[in-house]
Amino acid sequence: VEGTVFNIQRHAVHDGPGIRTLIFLKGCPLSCTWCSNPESQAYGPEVLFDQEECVGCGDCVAVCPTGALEQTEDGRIVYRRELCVGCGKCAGECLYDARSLAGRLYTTEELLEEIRKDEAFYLTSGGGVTFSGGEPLAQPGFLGETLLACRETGIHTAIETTGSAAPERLEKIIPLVDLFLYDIKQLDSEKHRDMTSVSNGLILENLRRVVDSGASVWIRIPVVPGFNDSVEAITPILDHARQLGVSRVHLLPYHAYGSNKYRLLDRPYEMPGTRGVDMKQRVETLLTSLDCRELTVHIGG
Amino acid sequence: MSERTMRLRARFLDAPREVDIERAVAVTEAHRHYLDKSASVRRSLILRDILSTKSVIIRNDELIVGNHGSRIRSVPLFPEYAVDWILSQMDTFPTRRGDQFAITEEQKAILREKLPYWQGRCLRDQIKGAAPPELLAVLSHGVFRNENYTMSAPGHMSPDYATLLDRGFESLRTECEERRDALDISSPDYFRHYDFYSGCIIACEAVIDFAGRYADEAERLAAKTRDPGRKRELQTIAENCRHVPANRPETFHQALQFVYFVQLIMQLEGNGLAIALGRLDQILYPFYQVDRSFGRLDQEQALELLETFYLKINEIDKIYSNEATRFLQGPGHGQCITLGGVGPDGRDAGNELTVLLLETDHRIRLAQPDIALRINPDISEEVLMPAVRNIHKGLNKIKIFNDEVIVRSMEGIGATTTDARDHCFLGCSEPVMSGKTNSWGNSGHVNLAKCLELALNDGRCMLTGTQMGPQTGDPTGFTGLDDVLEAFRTQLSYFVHQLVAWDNLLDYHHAHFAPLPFYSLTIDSCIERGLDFNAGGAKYNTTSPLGVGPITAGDSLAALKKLVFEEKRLSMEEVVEGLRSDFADTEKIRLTLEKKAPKFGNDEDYVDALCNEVLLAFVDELSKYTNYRGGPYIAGLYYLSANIPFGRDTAATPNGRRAGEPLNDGGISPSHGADVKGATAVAKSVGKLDHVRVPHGSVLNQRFHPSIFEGEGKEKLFGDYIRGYITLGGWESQFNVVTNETLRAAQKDPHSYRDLVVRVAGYSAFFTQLEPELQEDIIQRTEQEKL
Repeated sequence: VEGTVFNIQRHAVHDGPGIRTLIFLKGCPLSCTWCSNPESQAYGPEVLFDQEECVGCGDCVAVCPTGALEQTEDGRIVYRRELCVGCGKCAGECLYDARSLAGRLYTTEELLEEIRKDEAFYLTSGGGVTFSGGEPLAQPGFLGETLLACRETGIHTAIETTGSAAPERLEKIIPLVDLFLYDIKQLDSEKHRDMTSVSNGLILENLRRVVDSGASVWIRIPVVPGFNDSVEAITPILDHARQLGVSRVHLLPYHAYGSNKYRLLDRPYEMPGTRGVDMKQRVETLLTSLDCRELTVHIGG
Repeated sequence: MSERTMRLRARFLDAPREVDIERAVAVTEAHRHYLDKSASVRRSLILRDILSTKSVIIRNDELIVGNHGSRIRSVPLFPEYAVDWILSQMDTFPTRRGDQFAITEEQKAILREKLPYWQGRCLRDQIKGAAPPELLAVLSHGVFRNENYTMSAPGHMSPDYATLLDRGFESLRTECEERRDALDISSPDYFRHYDFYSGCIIACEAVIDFAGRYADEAERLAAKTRDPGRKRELQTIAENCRHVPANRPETFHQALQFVYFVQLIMQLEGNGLAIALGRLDQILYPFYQVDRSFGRLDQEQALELLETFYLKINEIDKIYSNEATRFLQGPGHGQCITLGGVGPDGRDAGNELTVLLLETDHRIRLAQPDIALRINPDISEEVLMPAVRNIHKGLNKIKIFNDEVIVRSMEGIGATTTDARDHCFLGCSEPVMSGKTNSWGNSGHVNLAKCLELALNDGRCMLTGTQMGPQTGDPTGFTGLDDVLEAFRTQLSYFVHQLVAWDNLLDYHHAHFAPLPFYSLTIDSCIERGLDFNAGGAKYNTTSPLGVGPITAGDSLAALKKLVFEEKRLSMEEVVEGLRSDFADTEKIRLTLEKKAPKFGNDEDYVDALCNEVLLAFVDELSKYTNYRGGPYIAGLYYLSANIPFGRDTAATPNGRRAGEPLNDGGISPSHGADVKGATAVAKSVGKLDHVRVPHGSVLNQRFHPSIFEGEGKEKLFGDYIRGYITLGGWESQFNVVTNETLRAAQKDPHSYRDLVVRVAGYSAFFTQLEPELQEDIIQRTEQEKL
């Protein structure tokens, strides 16, 4: 089985215990307004194009097999996304970091080889691999096979999930995962749909499934201004965690580090400006007003 | 910090760096007097005169005494080694670009009057006069250099503090007297040993008398003061200086005073860079333990003594010539304290004092002393965590070292296991067997990237057209990487051969014309052998030149291999033409070389293996030679800022570097910004190099955005990173947690800072790829975290 991976980050220290390698799988059923990985959402490979870096040399036009690239008379490169098949030849040619490919195919063996590169650090730190996305459960076959391979190699496995997946897919994965980093964004279903494009019914059902299976779970709440950065929004999530018996909760302050990538995908970044707002500070203040009984609540990963 | 230390620290920081002429005047007067004496006796009499005439000052609040110059941060001069630079450059000392020093008109007038005595007499002039003209001609190409060893004594050693503290100088004097008396006067070597022991005996007396002058001064001040607390302190100082360094210290305080006297006199005898303090956590521990067990010393008192000791170490400063400041900028002079590591039994020997010495560094936060922490798998979290805390708090001078690899490497150059386990570090990354080694550390630089340039241009400099090296053929006739490597090895071989000739010539001159009686007293086995430190008296003798730009060269080989020989994306003609013209009209070729070939630091075997080839080529060349003291030539891959001047003299390189730009820094650090897969990938790349065969060590600089420490338990994870790095076989690393200054620099030059990662949960961003507004937010937050 092959899977589409759009990024591998080594030496991650905020996504599960220890020093970890983060594997970003492509494709997500949600489209959260604040998403910091917009290139994760579509299921196939995509080219990020940075017009500002482009010098108009035309090397990419020459190799494009589908005619998605054209050079205008004044030398500008016009990129017609609808014709692009994501082969990435243009990115291979580009010398100016103007074009890069998000998403390439890996076999389980190839990916395992990448993951094993930092085994020495997993060992000293109690770390391992974390599959993120996108939604890793969106590539269930590949995910399952790779998790199994990691398991057999003795590597600690975690997945960072939105929880939005068909229950039967999830059930198959659960026994292969040592730790779930489970995103809960809102208990109010209406608001959830507004900002993520899906309701939270399935997500909450699945959370119960995971918890009932006896798996380890940390709940992660992205704290997003205007969406859930209030005592009223967070409190029900904490209550829910307590009810389920999940004791560890992470509040992840919203950040805009992904904003530049929207431009490279020709998409608008629709988060209201938070310039000048210190989100970490705001979450720290918020935390002081929250009822954290029976819970360990962390800020950040 | 105690209130006393705060006052002392503020006074130190307020003091200007300035020139001191006391020593220069004393050495000039003395030398005239003792012209008829034999070499060692003459040098020790000169030392005696310097120590008996120099100003003796005890300042308010001081607990450890001894003054390097007559003012807090004044630097003595050593005209007997090299004089021209002082006379011709002293007008520029206050205004030159790096390392400025004040000097008065009156001082300059005296120097102009006294110092011409040394012209033609100083060591450097003698060397230049004696050197074969052909050798000087090759030297002038600048492919290799060693100016360092014409300017001062060799330095690069650690006194045998364990033995010195155990015995004291009275005992050493007695031994020298007995040995001198026991000499067979009919032996052909009789006079050589007689001169040596006579010099040592005079040096012992000079040192004891020098301490006595401080005892007198302390008593004088004690009688004068009206402050009863200070009176008691001065009386203690007087007692200490009567007792040490003549005898074994009785207290922790005396042990520190002993070490400081020795450290000071080592500098005053012959200057010399990198006179290390050794394994102070081991050496001082018995004295600390006794004081603690008798209840004479609590932890805060111990810390206060260490704080004042560190401050005194900072008073030892040096001035270099304008040329040398390009290679050695800043106020660090390699006075390194080594902490942790294994004991003679091979088990981790970190102790309470290790932690206190780290804590002192955290409190004092100044450029000196250097701190080297030896790491073995059994190092305790109690020792590792304070070190990580110091790194987190921006003390980027702390270096971590791989105990197991270095012990093996020392055994590889002939050290016994016990001696190898007792290694300590000099200024940068170079280990020595504590108190037993004359390392000739940093004895010359060889520009490895330049050797590759010459290999790609038939031995001619691409910048000037001068035929510098042997003719190794037209590179467009090369059919594979092996041809390039062969030409590279031929160039390297030629220049190493010449460097060896030059180093041996320098070594000869130090041995015959500049013996060091005081150094010799502090190093095992000079007394036993009756031989000066400079004449091969040390138990271990090496000569240790440094390779500059090995990663630039290795990355370049990888680019040629992949793009020219394998993919044939570029032809050798166009690459060489690009290099010669500095890619004047061929920027795309430069970009292809830079972006489409793998670079060291990303855990890619393809290029990591070629960097190792470069390293081994250098090692193999050096291993052919023996030095003047009978020891091996060994390789080092570290430098302070030599990559900048050597880079200036190097044409464009096939890794896409432009002409004149710096070579890779540190020694084996990845080219700036080339390591984009994170610190674990760097550790993997570095771990693949054959460090055991580079016994003089290497330096890896790593930088981190402070976000690596954000959140609970992250300091522990940093410690785990260090443990992993060590497991993988790296030699050394030092860590820079970047400040806003670096982030600002990254905004201006994003390309060189592509490696900077801002870490958050779920997605970590490369700083230089963020939008300017976000970069500003991060800079502002980084500023706040600091406060």
